[in-house]
Amino acid sequence: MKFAKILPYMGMFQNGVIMTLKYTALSLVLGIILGLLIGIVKLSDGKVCKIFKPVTYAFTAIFRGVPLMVMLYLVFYATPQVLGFPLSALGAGVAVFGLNTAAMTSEVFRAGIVSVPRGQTEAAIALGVQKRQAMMDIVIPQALKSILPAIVNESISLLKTTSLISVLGVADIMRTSNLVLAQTYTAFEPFIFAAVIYFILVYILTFFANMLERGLRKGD
Amino acid sequence: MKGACVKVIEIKELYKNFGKLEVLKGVSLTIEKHDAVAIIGPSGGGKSTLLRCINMLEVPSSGKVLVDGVDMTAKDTNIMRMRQKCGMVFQDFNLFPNMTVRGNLIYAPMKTKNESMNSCVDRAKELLDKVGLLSKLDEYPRKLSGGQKQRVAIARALMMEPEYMLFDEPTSALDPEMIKEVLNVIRDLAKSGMTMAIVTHEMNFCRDVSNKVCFLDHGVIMENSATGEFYSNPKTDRAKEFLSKVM
Repeated sequence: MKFAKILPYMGMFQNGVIMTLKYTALSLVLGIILGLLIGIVKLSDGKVCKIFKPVTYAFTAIFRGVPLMVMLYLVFYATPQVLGFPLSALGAGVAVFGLNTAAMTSEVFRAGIVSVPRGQTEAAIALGVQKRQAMMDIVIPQALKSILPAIVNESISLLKTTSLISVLGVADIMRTSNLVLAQTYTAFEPFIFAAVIYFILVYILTFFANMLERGLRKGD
Repeated sequence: MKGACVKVIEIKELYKNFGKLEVLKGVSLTIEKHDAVAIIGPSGGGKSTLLRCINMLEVPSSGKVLVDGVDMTAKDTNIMRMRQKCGMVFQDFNLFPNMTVRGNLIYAPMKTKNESMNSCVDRAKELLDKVGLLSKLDEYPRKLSGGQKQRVAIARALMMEPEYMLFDEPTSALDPEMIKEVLNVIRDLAKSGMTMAIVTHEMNFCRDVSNKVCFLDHGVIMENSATGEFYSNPKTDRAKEFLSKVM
């Protein structure tokens, strides 16, 4: 074992961590906002939402059924052929990971909202509050509490999934390990190092999620 | 009180189906100002559905509901505005668990009437004092007993300064010991002249507090009369049978 061999590449790994976190954060923000919206559309019986409902279910089905690697290639290599201009790896990556997270979390949000008793909405609208307002103030905060663990799982899964972006040549943690392998002719050390970094990142994420969950549970 | 017969709620030929199930079959009922109408009858008779049709929590299949002369079933009626005149109390309280008692009380008036936080909190304190729960202002609902929750729910409904109240089996989810504290609050309200409709199984309370009784069975109003008359001299056999079983 010669871990000293990878020491000169610590700067590269550091940039790799930043790259991985950047893809994760952007995709997570896009995924959760979109996922919540799609989850609400799936439940709504408003006129406009009804039109989009089949679209949202198709969307979830597609991301469930198609491997992310295939999606990445499709968006990064195939779409430019149709559109006539190239996409950046960042754009393609965040789009694919974000939409994938949205597809998965939309189901989580939907289930969470359904789990809040109907009486909560009824009590609010009986007081003369708009249904949409009641959703925002009463239903979603309660739903969030019960779905937080599922959202954390999805975030962890996303963080690990971003390693796929290395196939597009983005120097994330995974790609950096590959580069170090190519330069030092050792495989064990860089990949073990990558594994440890991913593990620690997930560990930190879980720690903060637990803190957040404790905060949310104050009311009960 | 008797001279001025101001109609607050007028229900005309109301039908409500859930799929093939006919729950209400042509119900007509008028509730006047200061009335306390008890809606009683066997389970599954349509009592709660009737109550929920008054503020459109259930949309009637046909028929009309007029509140202050405004047709609630009409498309251009601002239902939200109309619901603000109505205080509704549910069987299982439906307090918002993510808010304190204070939050529960001030939420609706602040959102719907743009009232200032201070005036809302002042009124909240006043109403909590009235129902004997001022000390619970900053508690979360989970720390309250069933009876306390229901009293908070009544105070929450009163925060909107409603013209009339709907009680949907307000004591059915309570331990026997807690029923009284809730009924006392409702009784006080009725005495103060609040117009109300109460779906209840508490026969003594109904006899004591209501001035009219509406006996509903299988989606039809079998009897609709003054309370004293209903209890002493029920007209229909069905009502006689019901009373002999529950009294």
